[in-house]
Amino acid sequence: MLRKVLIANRGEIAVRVARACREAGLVSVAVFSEADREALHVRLADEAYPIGPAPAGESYLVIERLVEVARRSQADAVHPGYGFLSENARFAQAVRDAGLTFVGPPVEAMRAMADKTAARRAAAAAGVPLVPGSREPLGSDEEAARLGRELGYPVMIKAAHGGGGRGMRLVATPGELTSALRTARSEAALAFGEGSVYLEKALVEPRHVEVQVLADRHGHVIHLGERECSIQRRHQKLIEEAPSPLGDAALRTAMGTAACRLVAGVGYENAGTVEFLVDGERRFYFLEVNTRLQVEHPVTEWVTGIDLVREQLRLATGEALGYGQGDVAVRGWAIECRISAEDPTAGFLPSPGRVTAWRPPGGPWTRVDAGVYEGATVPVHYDPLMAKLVVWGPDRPAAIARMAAALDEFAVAGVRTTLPFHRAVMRHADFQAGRLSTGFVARAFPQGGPGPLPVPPTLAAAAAALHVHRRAALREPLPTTAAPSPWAMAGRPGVRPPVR
Amino acid sequence: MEVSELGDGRFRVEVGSERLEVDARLPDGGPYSLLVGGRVYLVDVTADGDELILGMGPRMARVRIEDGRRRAGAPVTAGAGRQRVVAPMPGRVVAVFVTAGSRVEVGAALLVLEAMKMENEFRAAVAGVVTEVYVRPGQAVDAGDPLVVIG
Repeated sequence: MLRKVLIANRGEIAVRVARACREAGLVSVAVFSEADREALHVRLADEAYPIGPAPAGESYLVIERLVEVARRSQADAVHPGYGFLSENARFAQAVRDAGLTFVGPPVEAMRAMADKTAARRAAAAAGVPLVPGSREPLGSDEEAARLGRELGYPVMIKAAHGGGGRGMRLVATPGELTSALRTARSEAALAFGEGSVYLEKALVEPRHVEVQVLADRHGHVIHLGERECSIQRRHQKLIEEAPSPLGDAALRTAMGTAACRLVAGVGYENAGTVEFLVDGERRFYFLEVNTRLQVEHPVTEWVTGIDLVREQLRLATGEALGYGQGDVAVRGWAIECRISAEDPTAGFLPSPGRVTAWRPPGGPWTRVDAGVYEGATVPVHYDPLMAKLVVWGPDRPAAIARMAAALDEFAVAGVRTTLPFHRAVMRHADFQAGRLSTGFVARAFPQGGPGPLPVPPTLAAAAAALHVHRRAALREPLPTTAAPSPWAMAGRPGVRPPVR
Repeated sequence: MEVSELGDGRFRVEVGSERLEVDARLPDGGPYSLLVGGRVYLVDVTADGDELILGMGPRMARVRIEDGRRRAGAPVTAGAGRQRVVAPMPGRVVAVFVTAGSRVEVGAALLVLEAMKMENEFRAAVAGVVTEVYVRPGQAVDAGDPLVVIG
């Protein structure tokens, strides 16, 4: 039985885990860098401890400090969230060495999947189809060039020790290979502390489809269906949905079965995701396994009715899953839009700053997982994700209509956001028809992302004039009144009249 | 531009030669709630130097303030008695309703621009005579391209 959980993360996922802890009757412990003292996750947790200066490398990534705080707070478990140290086997080991429960898979399973080339070998051993490519990290540039010739261009350079699009480079011609290797290696070293890369054949505009798995300590492994995450920019996901518009039950079963076989083969426990690429002929190829909860987990929660963080906490204690593959049903359709402080018209450049207005939408089957609040500041040091807007509908058109309405209701001021981009995608004919691939964003917005729509000039001028009028009026002294305060007349004890 | 208070949160706002009656709630923390001709507008106002950024749902405008007291400057793209309509985003001209020499009242429809599978109608913010029409139906435009000039 767990009692107290340290959340080794920040932002919206730390809020998510804190809520799951509260529901489960567990005490939540937040950690915060100097930039995050007033962050939402600190406000909502039961306890909170400082962990260092703003840069992640001096706070959220410092294993020793996190373990020390876990000990000091007497937490008995650590939830790593996503990103940061969530796929770091050394961190998981340190947590376990300290006698705490790590909410995630066994260290051996993490190690097996963290090295992406080792994961490809495990997939091959499990009979899971692979994207053709190297089985080992690349040695010399000559080796890379030879492999490139064998695979045929275009090829994709990928980091061996991390995901999220970092250290990835698409190479269209042999002449670009050497310089692409150089930049991919240095980017990977910066992001993951390790610059090894490998090579894969680049499929032409595939679909990115991933499968959610859950496994317990007793060997039960099930999948919770797939998610389509093809709407990406520079390999960073922007919009995800469940199920995939491919609408192919046989494909879902084949991919789900392959995913379960693969993770079972490495003794997996807890939640994980197996990522695939699907080509134009509906053939699927293994990409990688993410040994953690994913950002887009809410769409799976909507269509299956299963609370994934709750399951993570439960499974971490060694509890049995308690249900089987036949008990999992996918119903309706869910879509998620990532609302980030980025400017789509400026190449999605981060737009940090103070959020002066934050009015998320409400209504049926409309969920907002936010990491900010009105008046909060989006810091420069971390990922600019502010919130996830996730809706459910009985079918895909209903979900799209619900998302479009929710996006129109969502008002944010003070920072640029990706809201105009999401609004445009919901109205895009290709998106509505389910014609998705990883080339969608480049094709739909060749000149960059859309910005906000214009305001009729007369209305804009009138609103501005009223604003100026109001500001001027506020500087004039207010008239006093001889009338008694209605609060005083009501004689309510302890209630003070409003200050004028 | 002039603002007169009519009481009970109602204002008369004169923009060029157009007169608007606005029922306005203007709380300090924002947003402003405006009723104009029965239509609802929720406006977030952020100051940016000598300009205001207005957010209205999926729409946004920048307005330059020319006098900080009871007058506000016209939208950045318009001048007193003159309006220069430019394309705010890349798109395709679907329809043009005026030619050089057309006389227009405030609010007259000038053209329709289709962008991102949506149609946007541009209306005259000033009354006057159209002096330039730079586009014709079917033409593709880039953000910033001039479309129509009045006055």
